[in-house]
Parts: sequence; structure tokens; C-alpha cells
Amino acid sequence: MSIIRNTQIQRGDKITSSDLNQQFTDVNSAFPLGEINFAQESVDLPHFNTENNSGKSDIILKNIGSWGSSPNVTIQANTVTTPPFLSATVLHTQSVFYDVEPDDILRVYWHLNVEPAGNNTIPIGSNANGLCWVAWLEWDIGSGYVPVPNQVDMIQGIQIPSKYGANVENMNACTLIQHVQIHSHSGSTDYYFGEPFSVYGQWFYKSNSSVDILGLRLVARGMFEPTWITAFNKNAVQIVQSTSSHSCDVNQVQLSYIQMRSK
Amino acid sequence: MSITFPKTWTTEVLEASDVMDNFDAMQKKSHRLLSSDVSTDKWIDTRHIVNPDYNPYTNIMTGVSGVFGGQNSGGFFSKYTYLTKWLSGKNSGVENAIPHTGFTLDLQRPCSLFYQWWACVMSPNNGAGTTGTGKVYFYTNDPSIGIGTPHLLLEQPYASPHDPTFDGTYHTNGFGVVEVSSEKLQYGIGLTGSSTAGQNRFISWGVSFEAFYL
Repeated sequence: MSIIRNTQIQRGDKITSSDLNQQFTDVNSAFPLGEINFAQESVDLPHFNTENNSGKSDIILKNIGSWGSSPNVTIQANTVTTPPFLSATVLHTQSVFYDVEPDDILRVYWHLNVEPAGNNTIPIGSNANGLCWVAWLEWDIGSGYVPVPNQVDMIQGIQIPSKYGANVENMNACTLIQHVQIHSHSGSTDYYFGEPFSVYGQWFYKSNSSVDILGLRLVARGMFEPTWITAFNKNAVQIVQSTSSHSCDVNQVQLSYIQMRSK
Repeated sequence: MSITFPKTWTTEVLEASDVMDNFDAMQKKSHRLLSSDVSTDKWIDTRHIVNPDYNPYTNIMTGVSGVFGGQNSGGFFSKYTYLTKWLSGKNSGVENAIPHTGFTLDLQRPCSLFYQWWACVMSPNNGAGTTGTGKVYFYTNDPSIGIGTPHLLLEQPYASPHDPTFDGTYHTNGFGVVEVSSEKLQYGIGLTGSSTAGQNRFISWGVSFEAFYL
């Protein structure tokens, strides 16, 4: 309580010693000084201990970073639909050190310039517009790289023994890269692999524990097609059989990281 | 710690000097507070911080924590913006600001600035015999210098018999990050780019930025 309330002595009262003593001791009700001593809108930007170079003062923004690379790597298509699968292709690895506290908000964004390539061999067909590659985010929090929370490595058994891939509900930190455009006109079917194009992804996460992020990386594998898992009522993507003629080049990567305080 | 008053009255005569001594004790305390005199609980709540200023025309909010804002095209086809090779030195890659996507900021403190955009871009084949590509970049202050990795906008295949809505229209997203180490007034940010396509029509788009002082 830091408001003084002097109500003992009113105008016209006869003052007693106890009243007078109380009048002074009431002043002590002001202690300790606290929130109530500040007026509305009394705190402005100069009162804050801002960071001198970048605004990363730990009050709202804790960390921010952005990196780019030209990996020029090729993701090869899996030729089988059951394990063992090809290892995921690493697109970009970024060593960092970020101390994450509970309730911190993480925002990670990435952008890839890609160029799928292939020909008219399986799994290409008139209904193959959904064919895609999947690139996802992993982090190293002390035990090597693993998919970030709410993301899986895309080779989960989604309907064992026949289907491997991932349920869509477990794909919160990934980018789907369309493999081919297929369209019919004048009685023929066109398969268009096209020119290099850009894709984008993001991952938002409110941490529920303390972790030290030692690294971030993007990895990818393919190819996948959308499917419905009737037994579990799940939307999913599954690995499809492909010839080795299908691949996806990744030529440029940009990755950005934002860490914000929420409390 | 509370004030220790030197005088506590019982039945004696009230002396002015005694009253004055107690007043002096109050004054002394007010001039030298100890750590125990202030609360260790939270002192500042959001209501104590100066309210931000909002400009509804530019859609920019300037506050203690930073500067934040955005623009968008409204509905489909209602506010185009564009890239074209005719402003890019044809195939030379000269970068020009993309209209409507820029902001002029008064950054009063060092900050970290995050800019992001999305766009639905229709790029009809212009009959040039090639399939062109637009390149979009984030820029600060100088639109002729794009920052970071280009974001590619595909033109409709040059031999396509289709309407460009079918095979010449794509959705694209991107972002840019920059750290600003000092106060910057009239600081420009936005999208810039070059193109080898005749028309990269941004038929629907949105941009936003967050500049964090804190």
C-alpha cells in the first residue's frame, strides 16, 4: 500500500495526543512504494534500457538472426515405399547458440529456391499433380539434430506395413515443393517441370521448457503424395515409389530466426 | 523501512519544535529511500507506458516498443502492383521499387527490423519466346540494392496455350531481416526487384514490418 489516508482528524475536532501520533504514523502506510506511485502513461522510451546496436534488449526481442547460402544440392527420390529410405538431404546447417526460456516465442522462417526435375516415368501420371518434396526444420538442442516440436522426419509408419510418410497434423515446420504441373489440353497431357521457383516455410512455437539451441538446419526428402488414412481418419502424405529420374535441386536458402519474450 | 518519528506525544504540551522534528523526519526519508522502502513486486504495467500513436492512413503504429505496420491490396484485382522487364533494363537485372510495398520510417532507436510479404502473382507469357523470371528482394533505403536471396516469380511457359490463371499464377512469400544500429529518420524499406518477364502482376498482396526497439 503506498497511498496515505489521513482520516483521524477532521476540521473542528479536539486533537488528542493519540490522534496526532496516528496522523504521523499513517504516513508510513505509503511504504513500500510501488506500482500505484506511477501515473498512467508515465513511462516512455527513454526510461527503458535499450540495446545499443540492434534493439535486442531482452524486453520483447531476445534474439534475431538471418543467414543465407547457396547449397546447390540435389534431393533424390526414394525408389521404394517401405524402409530403408534414402537419408534426408541437408539443405542448410546453421550453428547458433540461443538460450530459450519457458514461454519464449520462437519464429523461424525460411525460403528456398528450387528446381524439380524428372520425366514421364513413375510416379508421373495424369493424377500426379499432388506429387511433392518436403523440406522441414530441425534443431540441435544437445543431442544432435532432430525435427523441431510438432514436426516429424516424414518416414513415420502412417499405415503399417504399407504406407510411410507423415500425418498432416505432425507437419508444422515444413514446406511442400510441388514436383510437376500436369494438365490436359487438346487431347494430350502435358508434364511441366518448369524453371527454378521459390518456396517458403515458417515455424512458430511457444517453448514450454528451457533449452539451448545449438543449431538449426533444413533437410528434405521425397517424393510424397497426399493420402487419406481411413483406419485413423487422418490426412497424410505418403512416400511414393519413383524411378531415379526424379530429383529436386535446391540452389539457394535463406533462414531467419526470431526469439521473443511473452512474459 | 518506515519512518521513525522522533516525537510521540502523551500528555505534554504540544511544542512546535516537536512537530517540526517529525516533519523533518518525513523530509529526510523522502530524500533518501532505501531498497526496503520500495516494493519488489512488479512496478510497471502496460497502463503505465505511453500509448502508441497510430496512423490510419499509412497503417503504421509507433510506440515505445517499436514501429509496426503493414499494407495490403484489399481484394483480388483491386490494387495491383507489378514488376516488369521494361523497367529492369530488359534482361540486365536493374532493380526497381515495387509500388505500394514501401514505408518511410522514423526509427528513434537502434532496432531489429523484420519485413515479410505474401503475393499472388500472375505472369502471362509476353510472347518473347522465352520463359522469364521475376526476382523480388527486400531493400532498405536504396531500391536499386536488393538484400538477401531473390524470390523467384515464374512467367507462364512461353509456349503455353492456356490462360495465365492456369499455369502462370503463383503464390509467393518472403521476408527480410536487418539490424539498424542507430537512429534513422526517413528510413525507407520495401520490396524491389527485377524481371525478365513482361508482366509480373501482383494481383493480390500484403506486406508488413516489425521494428523492435526493445
